[in-house]
Amino acid sequence: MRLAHAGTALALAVLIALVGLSLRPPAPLPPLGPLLDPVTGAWSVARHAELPRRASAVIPGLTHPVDVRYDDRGVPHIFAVTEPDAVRALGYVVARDRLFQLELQARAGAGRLTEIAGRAALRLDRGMRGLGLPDAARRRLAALPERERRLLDAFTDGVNAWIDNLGRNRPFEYALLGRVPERWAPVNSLHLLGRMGWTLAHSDLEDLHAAVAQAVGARAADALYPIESPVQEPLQPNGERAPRFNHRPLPPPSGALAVRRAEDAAVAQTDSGSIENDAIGSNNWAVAAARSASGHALLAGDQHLELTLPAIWYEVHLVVADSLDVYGVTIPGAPGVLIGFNRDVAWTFTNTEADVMDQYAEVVDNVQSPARYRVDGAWRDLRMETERFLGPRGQLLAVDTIRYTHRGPLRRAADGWRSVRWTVLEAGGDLGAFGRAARATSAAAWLDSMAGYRAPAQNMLVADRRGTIAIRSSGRFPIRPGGRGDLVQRGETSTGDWTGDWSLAELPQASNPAQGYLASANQQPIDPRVNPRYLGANWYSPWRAIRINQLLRADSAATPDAMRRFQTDPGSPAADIFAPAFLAAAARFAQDDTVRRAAALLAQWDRRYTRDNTRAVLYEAALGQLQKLLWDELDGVEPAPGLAVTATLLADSNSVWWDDHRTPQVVEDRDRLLARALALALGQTLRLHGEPDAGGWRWDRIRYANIYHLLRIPSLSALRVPVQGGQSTLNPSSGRGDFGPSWRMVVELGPELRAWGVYPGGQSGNPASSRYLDRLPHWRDGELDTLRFPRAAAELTRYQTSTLQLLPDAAPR
Amino acid sequence: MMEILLLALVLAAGTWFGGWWAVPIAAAIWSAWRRHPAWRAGVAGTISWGALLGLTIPTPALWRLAPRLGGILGLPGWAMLLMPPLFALLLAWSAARVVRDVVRWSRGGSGDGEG
Repeated sequence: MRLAHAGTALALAVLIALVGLSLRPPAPLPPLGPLLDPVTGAWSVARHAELPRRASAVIPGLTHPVDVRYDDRGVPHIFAVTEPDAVRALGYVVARDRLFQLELQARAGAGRLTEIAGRAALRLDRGMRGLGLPDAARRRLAALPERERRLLDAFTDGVNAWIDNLGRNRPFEYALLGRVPERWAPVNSLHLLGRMGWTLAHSDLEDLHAAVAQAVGARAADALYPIESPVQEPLQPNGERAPRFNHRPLPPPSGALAVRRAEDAAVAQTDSGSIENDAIGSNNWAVAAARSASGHALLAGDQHLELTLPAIWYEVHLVVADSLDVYGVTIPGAPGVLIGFNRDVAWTFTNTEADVMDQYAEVVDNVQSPARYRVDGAWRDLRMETERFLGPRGQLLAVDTIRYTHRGPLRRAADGWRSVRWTVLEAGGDLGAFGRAARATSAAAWLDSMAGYRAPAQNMLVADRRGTIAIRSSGRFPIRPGGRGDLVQRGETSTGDWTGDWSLAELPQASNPAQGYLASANQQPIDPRVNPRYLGANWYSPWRAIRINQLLRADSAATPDAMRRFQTDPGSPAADIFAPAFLAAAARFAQDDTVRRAAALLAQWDRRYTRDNTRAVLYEAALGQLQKLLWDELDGVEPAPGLAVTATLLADSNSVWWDDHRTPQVVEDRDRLLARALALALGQTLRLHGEPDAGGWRWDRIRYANIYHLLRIPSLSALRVPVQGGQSTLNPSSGRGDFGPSWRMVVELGPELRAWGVYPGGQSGNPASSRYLDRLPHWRDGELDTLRFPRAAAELTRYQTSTLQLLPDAAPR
Repeated sequence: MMEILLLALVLAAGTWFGGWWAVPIAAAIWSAWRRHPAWRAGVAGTISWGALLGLTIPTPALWRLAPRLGGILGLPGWAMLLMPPLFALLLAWSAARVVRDVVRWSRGGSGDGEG
């Protein structure tokens, strides 16, 4: 009897526990029953992991049937009669493969992540809304030209048709979060573009300059984060055959530095410094027909963005009879191809890194709760918008009032209120530009189509079948009456407001240069001696641009395979400068055993970041130590000055900057500091990685790619992926490993265009799919896949794996 | 045995058309009606969810997903594969046992402890 009662009590306890965990689990556990349910739970995604051989669906709004053929790489080739129908189909197939990514990215752009993640995302959401991005997207939608609006509506039709057909087959992540997909809205595509603008064109040069000026004085700040890159290798050829190093003495630090330094004497010196600024970026280059082995123009590009699973890009081929035939990658949510090629033209981008965002210190009527701001002696009303942040269950988490001046959003700063003017908030017409460019039949026509493109500014490289290669830094570059944009402007007067934009003719650009090739890698795009007008500051160091130009200069018969190899080239022009400098300095201090041993090890390095290299780690540590020791005056301001600034300082061996103020008993010069950095690096490397030849110094054990799932779940991610390359190489790797080449493409523009490409991950966002990670090995090894570019559906039969018939709602299923 | 298979079919159908909660409800109703030992409901639960996993989902996809899903809960892939049948077992058994004993007590009897 007692046993029976115990059994019943146990059963009751189990039942209550299981039902409780299924209905209201403690955070962060997902609801157990819905998760484990083999029909609708997390497992159910495996049921639809692969595309069926044949499928059909109805999309409301479709005017004609659309034929979609998937090739052996999971790329949909969409054959439609009208462009809106092609875009409807695009929305459908993107949602089919990437629905959760679509929603998450749109929410991120709209500042609505709290509705999924709760309070943990409030800071991020406040950041987006505080910058006015969602507000700008809404206003942009209202002002959208009819044609562009029709395309956004068509894309929306496609996404929502897939959502309506989902039934219980929610993507994995929805089961995990216990949510259902939200219906797509046209504004989401604009949220997504706004988010890209935030990623690519957001800068805080004013804050950086102010912080550095406070530490070492304004003159020194100007020199450490210069408007003119100290190493010039612009994308618009400047007639020079080699990079130009501007060895100007750095002005000494000023202010209260010496007093403060004494307090810092005990600061530990063993951590490596930050070198992140030179670890990310994008590359593109093109070779004219005269310098290619085949006699056809070649184009290559690789955008270095955040590496995620699923990838940021989605590959697609859009065909509309007699009007559009474009292949490339789109960002899920965009209604067309962004980077790719058509039958005649290929194009790719790198980020211009121009300064297109300015801050204005405003005078307001009430510092606690401003309602007006003053300009030219008159008070103006602030535009107020209320932003409500909701939680996962719809509960109100926070309410913010976002204020706007005529310049842009008003934000609280340490010293008052600052408004922001930013080209990304005033963009428009960019979707139409992409649409026209996709139809261009020559490089010149392609650039003409992009003339109206505004933000985020991109170095647009294009090549055509006639052999033309051309590049232009495209976008809206404001003209500042004061000449600079890296200082906070006075908002009280309109004299600091932008007076116009760079004209098309002024933009950095080149077409068919005599050198026979063009390259960009986020460097300062135009030599200030050619055009001194302010375009930005603290430019990326031009090491990648230098390396590309070295490789292209040395190869007068380039092939697509050479272009592919260049994309993961392990050489570093920065190492060619710094490694000899370390060794020369160490020779002066050879009496020190540690310095001597470190130098002997560094001398064994071939200055290449190959995966099996066992000396690159020492150089990297030495460079990190150098940056930390050298810029001690900056009191930890991030980012540290770029390596280009450090490289030019090498010419000034007795500059006061070499002195480490934390060692008041010694005045260091260049060589002493370099030798100390090298010795510290050896200690650090031995401590972290063991003896040099014990296996721990292998480069692929130090640096690797970490490709995280969008929810940063490790088991859904690809972590510690060994890749070739290091900072300042063409395949740069950041310390965290979560940035890198997001889409590598090579195109040969012969009579029949040929193309190759790869991105990390796969077409499917479904972790049970064979296409979730199928491209990773090729991406890791620097290989490219052949891209199928059929003229008609019938040409694809050999490679076809699945078909999808999309039908108008009036047609029989 | 036939009765267990029949119950498994009912539980599978209930899950397919209703959801996870069909398992405890169907097991409870079966228990109140048939008054068989509750372990039989547990076995039926295991069979039903095991079959739903094994028969309706392609095996390669299942094996690809298992370690990824298991990683979320810190379990190996094979353990993750066992979780749904185990969950259904416990859910069906506990619901059947509680309802059977309640019915017995309400009629003046007592549980016999055989589970």
